Amino acid sequence: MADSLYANAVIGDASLRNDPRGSEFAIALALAFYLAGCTLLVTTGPTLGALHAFAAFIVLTAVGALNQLLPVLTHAPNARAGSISALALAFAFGFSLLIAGFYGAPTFAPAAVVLATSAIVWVVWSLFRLARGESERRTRMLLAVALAAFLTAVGIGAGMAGQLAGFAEVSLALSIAPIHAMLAIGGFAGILVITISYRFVPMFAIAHAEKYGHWAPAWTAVLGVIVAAASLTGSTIGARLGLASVVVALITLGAQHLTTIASRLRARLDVSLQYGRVAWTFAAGAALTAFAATWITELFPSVIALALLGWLSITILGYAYKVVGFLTWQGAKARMPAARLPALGSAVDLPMAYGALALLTAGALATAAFMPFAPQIAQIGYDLYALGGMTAVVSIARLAALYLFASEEGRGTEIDHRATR
Amino acid sequence: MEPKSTIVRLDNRGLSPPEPMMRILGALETLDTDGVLIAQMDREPIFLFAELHDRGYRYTCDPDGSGGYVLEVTRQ
Repeated sequence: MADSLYANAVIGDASLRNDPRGSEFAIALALAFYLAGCTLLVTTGPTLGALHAFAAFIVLTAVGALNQLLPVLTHAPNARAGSISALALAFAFGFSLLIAGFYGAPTFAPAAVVLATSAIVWVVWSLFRLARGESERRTRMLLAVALAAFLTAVGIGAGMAGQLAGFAEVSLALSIAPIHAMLAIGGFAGILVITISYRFVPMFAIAHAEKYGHWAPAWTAVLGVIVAAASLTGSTIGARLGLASVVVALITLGAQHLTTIASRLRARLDVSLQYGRVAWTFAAGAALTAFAATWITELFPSVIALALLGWLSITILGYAYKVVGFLTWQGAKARMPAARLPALGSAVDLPMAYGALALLTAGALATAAFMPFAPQIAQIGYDLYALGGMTAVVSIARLAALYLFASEEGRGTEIDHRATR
Repeated sequence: MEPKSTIVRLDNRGLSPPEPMMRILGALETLDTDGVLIAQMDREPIFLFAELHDRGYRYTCDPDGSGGYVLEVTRQ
């Protein structure tokens, strides 16, 4: 019984069965790395260790989210929960080794092996699933591009880790770091978030998908990332052209999302899209700052802050309210089909969620503003951001706990949707 | 003898989100005061419930016995 009800935990056709437990596990690990990133940011500053804790957050979220969304968006085959959980554990282990390496442990070499192996397995497996998909050709192509960028970024990263482990000159690692960052942040995480947002925004807003058929900005972003990544260490003109394309793409995408939201049928904008609106502003800000950084190189740390702490993390946290609520609600229904569960529409603690968003916004902005020019006061930004991040994770965990620990006679039955019969 | 209430039926099976929710909300715009909307769904539209509640509709949503759900909506 539980399995058949779990099988309904899809956003789409009931014939597209998927078990969400692997996704839940990957997302839980992702949030743990996000908390670790916030803690490291406060205690050690914006180190490469902290940066890669946030990278682990994004990668593990992608593992969980793609597992859940691939069958729905593309009619691709399902994956077993155990396989996804094992993959998530491998990534978590690899990132733990990598982060430990940045804090002095002799773990760069094993980190490179574990992360490269995990990445190859995940990307090849996901590409195979995408290739067997029956619909959403453009979604599948964009996801394939994002996965290819991820594999390339991990390959470069593994080489850099090998150099840091003493197998080659460290100066070589430093020289290719911008390409690694561009492919990881822009090519993988950026294109992934852009692609998923094409489907999530109309879904969450209840707005017509037809108005959403303009894919040119997404491909402009892809082209821009490729040109910028190829030019970052050689051609300033090429880097500027590529980044200009990314700026145009992200501003156009943000405008498309706002148009979709304006045409929504949902009466009130939900928490996920409130986070999304802030995140899209950060996306445009990050791209503009990257463009400016080709003249003022001191701005590169600000680009990372705006993109990683602002655009990507705030988007993912915002979507997590919807996705985590949905998955855990379905899990509770699977365990207790007759239970009167708290309604999802009123389950999020909105003051806490919006308080977290305000702190995240202020923290990311302060970090981006102070880090390059006034590092002595940048700690204010780290502290605000970490407080906001921790509040957001507590808010999401509270939402999950509402359903994970729900009982047949539990609290909240008075606001069950069936009470409106 | 009371006049029969209008029954609007929607088959939302096989549609991708957000089309099922949009079709339901669109149909409710033109539903008579005493009308009933019955929609066949692939899944339980859990994100629609708060929207229906906020708009003053009563509803039930039950399994149809073949893996899908039947949503029935009336005005409160």
